[in-house]
Amino acid sequence: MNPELQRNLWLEATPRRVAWVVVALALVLGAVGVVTGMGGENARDVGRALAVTGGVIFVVSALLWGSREAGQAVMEEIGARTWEFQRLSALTPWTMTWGKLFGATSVAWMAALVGLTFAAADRAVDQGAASAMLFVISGVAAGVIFHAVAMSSALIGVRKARAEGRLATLRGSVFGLIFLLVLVWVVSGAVGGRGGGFDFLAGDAPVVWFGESFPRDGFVAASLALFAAWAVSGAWRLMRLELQTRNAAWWWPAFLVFAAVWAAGLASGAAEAWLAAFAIFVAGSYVSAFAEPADRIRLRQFAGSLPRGDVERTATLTPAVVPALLLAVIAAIGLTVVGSESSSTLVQSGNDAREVLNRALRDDATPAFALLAFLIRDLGVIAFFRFGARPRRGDFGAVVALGLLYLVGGALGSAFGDSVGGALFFPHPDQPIVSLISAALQAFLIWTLAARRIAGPDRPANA
Amino acid sequence: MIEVENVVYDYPSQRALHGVSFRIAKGAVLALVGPNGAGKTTLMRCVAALDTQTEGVIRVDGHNTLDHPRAVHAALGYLPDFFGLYDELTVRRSLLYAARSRGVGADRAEAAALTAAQRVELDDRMEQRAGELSRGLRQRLAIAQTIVHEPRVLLLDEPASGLDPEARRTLSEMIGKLAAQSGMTIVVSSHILSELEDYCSEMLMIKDGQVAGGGVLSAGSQAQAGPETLVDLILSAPRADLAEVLQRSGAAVVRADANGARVSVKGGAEAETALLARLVTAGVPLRAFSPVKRTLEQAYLEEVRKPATPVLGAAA
Repeated sequence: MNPELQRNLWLEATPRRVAWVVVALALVLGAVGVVTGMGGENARDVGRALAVTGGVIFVVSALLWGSREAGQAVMEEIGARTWEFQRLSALTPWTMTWGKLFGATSVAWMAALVGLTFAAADRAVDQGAASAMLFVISGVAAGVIFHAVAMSSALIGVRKARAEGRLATLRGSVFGLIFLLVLVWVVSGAVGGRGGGFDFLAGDAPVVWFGESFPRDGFVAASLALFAAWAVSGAWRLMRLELQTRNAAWWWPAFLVFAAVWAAGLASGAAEAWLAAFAIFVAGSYVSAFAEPADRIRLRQFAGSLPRGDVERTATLTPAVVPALLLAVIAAIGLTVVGSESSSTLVQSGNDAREVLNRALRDDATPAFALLAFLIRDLGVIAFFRFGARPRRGDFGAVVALGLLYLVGGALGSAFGDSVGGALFFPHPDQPIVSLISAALQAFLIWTLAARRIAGPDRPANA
Repeated sequence: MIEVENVVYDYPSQRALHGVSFRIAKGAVLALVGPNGAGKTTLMRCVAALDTQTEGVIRVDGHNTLDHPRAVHAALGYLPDFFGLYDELTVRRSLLYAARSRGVGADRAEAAALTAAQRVELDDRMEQRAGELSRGLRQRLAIAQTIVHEPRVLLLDEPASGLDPEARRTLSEMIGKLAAQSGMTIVVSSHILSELEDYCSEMLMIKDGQVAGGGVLSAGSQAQAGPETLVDLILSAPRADLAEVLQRSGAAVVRADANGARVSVKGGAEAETALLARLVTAGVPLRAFSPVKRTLEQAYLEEVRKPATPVLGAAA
């Protein structure tokens, strides 16, 4: 047996804990059954009540309790000062990852699977065994995604804390899960056509993906299973770093491309598909700018290895934000090309060429590049604050600065100069050229300042 | 067994190691000494491939720590100054997990756990939970976990810190036994130099992130094998011209009075024998002729009291 799984089972799945969980589940489900039955409901209604209860048990156990346990699987090692011992072990990063992921959450999974069984049984009665099976796959995959994201966020937090000279906390896991929920909410709602919510997961209509129609429950189950595989592999890549194994910078861009292709397939046209990809790459750039440790030593080594043409070393030292930003640039170009193609179609249809060109620039290319320029400025702001003298407050400082720039700057700009004033501080759809020029100037200024901070003293002071 | 070449380690705002270089032979027991903040722990963590040096090369058992960190991890055992245990696990389960996670096969894990427990004299407490052990016993369990896979290199960072005198003595004897019986290359960082004296064969001093005192020195019982030996002389009867007689006999007098003297002799044991013969021939009434051992503590204090060497290129 995987030694890490074995140790986690020794510590987590003790006979006493398992017995308590069994008793608690029996009491809750028994109480629901008895109360519903005493209310004069028929057996089908009792079954439905148990299914709802099972669903709640699953959400509480798998998504909340299990996520906490997955994050704690790393954080408790830090708190108990056993992490260095683990880092020195002969276990492979993969063995360590799945041993922790499924060992630390073993009791939570036990409770969650009991709840999921009740919920799936009800679905089997209503919609058949195949639908129930897909429901179980979706539930398990969602649990795995939550756990892997919690563990990955904890591992990111550990690396950041080490670089910033502070103790790691569970804060990283909490932020990671909140981000995941917001992402699911936005994506699910956007696909459902309402800009937010969980419609995509809960609806019944078939899903059209790259023009092909798929049953929704099957598509959701397959998507969740694939994203679960990516989430676990992400935790594995981060575990590799903790165990001092070098990572080439392929995983993050590969995941972003996968997510972009998945989202693009759901779009209704070519421009929307490129826009979806662009949005994912922009979001990925922000995530990587905040998630990586502010390690100026590594950046200096990266800057040193680049001119030497040391491809292997450069690949391992490349900051994750670089490929994400390059992908965003490619998507912006794609958006422009698609815009030009649609413009050509309009010209062939007898429209005025000059007007069509202006429209293409206004609607497609310039806003994307203005957004890109603002992204580069924002990355500069993040770098400036995170590489400051007090790096532990860098994330907070960067968020506050960005908030001030967008909200206060934008409001002041709009108050004084209508759309032109506002366009100076955020990518304004009516003034894309102004936004582009303003963001480019701001980006140049902030990156000049950030570069000075990253370079720091030529040689660090004596210890 | 351990080769360190020009290792530099930078923290974001300060340089902790400035081009440290040394070599430790297989089977050596090295005392790594130096004041607080000198860079000992940083150096140990780099050797253990837990942290990555900014510049330089470290090889442990032939494995480069940058290229093959996991091979380095497999080759060594490292006990940090602040360590933790799984308090809810018994000694047996702690050692079984340690053995399995360090690559010992399932069929040999029980035997390896028992052997490690016997080495640290914990084999009578196998079913006791780690959280119930005293601090001294916890230290022993931590060392047992560190050596359960029979590493070729053992790094112990301040292992005696926080222990009472009896536990320190027991720990000292245990490390001495390990060094004598296992053939491991052992590096021990400690401030309690008198205890290192008993089992360390070599000493390396780190000061201000640099190697001080000329590199790896012979230590303990080997310490007097240097080019100069101090010898204490005690007379059975006072002799007023003792200093004069000593100088005529070719000894460098460090201090002298009518009842005795301390002299410095160059040339090792043969020169000491020759000096003794000359003094006896000269009629000096010797009661004792004792070479003085230069202890680790003396060597350490002499080095740390030297003025700091400016670091080339270091910013203020």
